[in-house]
Amino acid sequence: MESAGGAPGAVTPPQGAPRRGPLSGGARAAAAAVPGLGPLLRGEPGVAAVALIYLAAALSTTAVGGGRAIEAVADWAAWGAARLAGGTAIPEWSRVRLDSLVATLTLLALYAGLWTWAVRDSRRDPTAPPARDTEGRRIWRQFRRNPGAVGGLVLIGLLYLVTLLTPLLAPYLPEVQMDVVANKLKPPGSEGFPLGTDEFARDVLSRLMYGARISLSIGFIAASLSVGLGTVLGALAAWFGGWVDMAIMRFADMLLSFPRLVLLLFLLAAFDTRSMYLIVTILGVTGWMSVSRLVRAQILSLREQDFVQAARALGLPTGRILFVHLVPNSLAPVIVAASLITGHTLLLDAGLSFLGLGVSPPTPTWGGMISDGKDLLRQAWWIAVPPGLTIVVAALSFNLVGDGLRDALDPRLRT
Amino acid sequence: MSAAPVLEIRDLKTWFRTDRGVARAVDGVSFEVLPGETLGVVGESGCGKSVTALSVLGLVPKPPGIHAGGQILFEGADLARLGERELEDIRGDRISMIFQEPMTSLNPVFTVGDQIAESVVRHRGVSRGEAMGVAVDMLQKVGIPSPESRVRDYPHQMSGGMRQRVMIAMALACRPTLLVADEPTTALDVTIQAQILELLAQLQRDLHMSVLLITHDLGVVEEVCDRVVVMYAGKVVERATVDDLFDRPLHPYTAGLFRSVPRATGTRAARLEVIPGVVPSPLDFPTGCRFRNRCPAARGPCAEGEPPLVEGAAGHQVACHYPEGTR
Repeated sequence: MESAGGAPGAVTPPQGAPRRGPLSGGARAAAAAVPGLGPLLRGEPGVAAVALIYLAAALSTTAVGGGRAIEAVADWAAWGAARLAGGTAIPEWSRVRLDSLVATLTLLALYAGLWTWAVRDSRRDPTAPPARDTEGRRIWRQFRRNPGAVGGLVLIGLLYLVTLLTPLLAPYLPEVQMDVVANKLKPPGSEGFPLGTDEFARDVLSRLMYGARISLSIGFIAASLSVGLGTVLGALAAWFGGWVDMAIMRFADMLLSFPRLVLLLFLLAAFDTRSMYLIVTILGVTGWMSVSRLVRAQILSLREQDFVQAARALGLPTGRILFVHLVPNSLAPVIVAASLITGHTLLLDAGLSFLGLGVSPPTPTWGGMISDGKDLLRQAWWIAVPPGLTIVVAALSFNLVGDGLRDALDPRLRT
Repeated sequence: MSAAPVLEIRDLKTWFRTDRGVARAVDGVSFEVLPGETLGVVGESGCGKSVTALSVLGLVPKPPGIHAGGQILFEGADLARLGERELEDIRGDRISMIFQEPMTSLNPVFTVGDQIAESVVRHRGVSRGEAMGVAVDMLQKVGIPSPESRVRDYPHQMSGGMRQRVMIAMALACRPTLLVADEPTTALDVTIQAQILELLAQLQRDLHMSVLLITHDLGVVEEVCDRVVVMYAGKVVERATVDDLFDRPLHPYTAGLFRSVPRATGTRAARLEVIPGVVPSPLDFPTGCRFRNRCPAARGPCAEGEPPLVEGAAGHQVACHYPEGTR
């Protein structure tokens, strides 16, 4: 970080050199008004790009789905007014209505967040020394140096944003079938179908967006379940040792000795209809083993540390020492593993859907869409390719973030 | 010896089961700590002094540790017989402990304030906010400048001496009646050592507590202790007031220890004396007196009976068949 900028008597930086220092007067006002402009003026193109991407996302959602957002708000306002008036005319509750409201609120929150950030950022003085250098800030600084990891994080953010905004953005509901004779297998760019339609005349873009909700939720929730289970089981195994350790780790070894896909097929084959919750649970309970090994190894070495003895000498109970003192100390590698596992779980779910053992149709999932499209790949490539690409992007993003976190959390790589 | 002792240890035996047999780390130790006094426990590495300290708090890992006998009487209860829950209630509240390594005895992911407050919340049942207030007070008491902002520091932002002060603040936050200090100054450099010892002495007066000081540093003992227990191979070999012990050690081992302390006075040419041999393995102690293989005064009877701890002089007990000055 340069220190000369802004100091009294400092030499004016030559023309074209990035201005480093607090923004003044008009520039500050402009930076507060347009998110992303401030970093651009200060010569931080990376930060500017991230802000502008999210601004573009917010604006385009407003352009496409602004009407629906207003409808949703009006709908719920009317419902609220009717309740207040004591009338009996309570409008029919529907999933679609609630969805639209959540999406509208997300959009508003996005705007609020962007401008809060812009106003605070416009007042920031990049030459000022950081107030308090916490561990979190050090990690973030190191993470930011890795463009791939930041890119991955931005993409993950956008993907999850799309899942929340889907009711405003998607042209149709995912299960809606048009007139099959007229509209089946329309190519991308057709009137009203930006990504074309499948053989049942369903809009591919809508299915892709709604599928993202299912696929990304499964990836995220199942991975959280795996990580949570693995952390608790690994911690218990390491702390209690003996037969507890034996039972937990041998069970983990047993699960690990099956190829994961075979294990999943075996478990899923027992169910006729497969809901999202079932898939999440089964993916979660078959994915904790690597995390439990990680946590166990960490806690085995941590439990011998003096601060554990000190905590016991203060009369703290075992459960508190284990889960409040030891587990947070062991989380660094777990966080890395968590992001990698999320990407992996996403792929696995896509694989299951492809094999026809994912969430039951007609619920759209990315893997399911590829499966639907595989037989028509030569006539209608647009059914299978878009979900294929989003799967690649999502999995890659999680892996990039995981890699970035691994480097940022490793103090030996810190500069 | 008027007041009732705060802590009374009677014939304590803490053994460890190992693959090669039973290690009798502490094998029949007795002493008591009086109100307000500092009792020093000295001895070489491996003589059982740390295990004695851990036994008092019930911190000996079991297994492999076993309580093979004896009593630890504290406030009318035998700590050796209490369950884990009851011990947890006492630890950090009535009896606290500080450790040798200030660098690793604090949890790196919590602020020092959180760590001090934690035991206050645990034992006093107060809110976290109140406990943080106590933490600030304690930091002030242990001499940490600007405690209001320092409570939010993480351990890695502090030096070794300051961390030991924090450890002391943690241990004393609930105002215990007994503090067990296991080599509290060994890991610090000499100037900081003196400060920490001075601080401990001052807090001891302010809080009217007793201190059980485990150390191998005879200089520290002379500085801060009222009475001393000398341990060798899991046994108490001598027990006396500091003055008596330093003026007139009765056990050949104690005498040997004093002769092996380097002194700044005297000529350079004089070689430092050593006690020959090493501490015997706790798996396989010699018969009779455990010191006899290294003792300059050993003779026939030493191999037969273990010498009992007897009054060698007024208020001065020794476990030796042939104490110094009687030969």
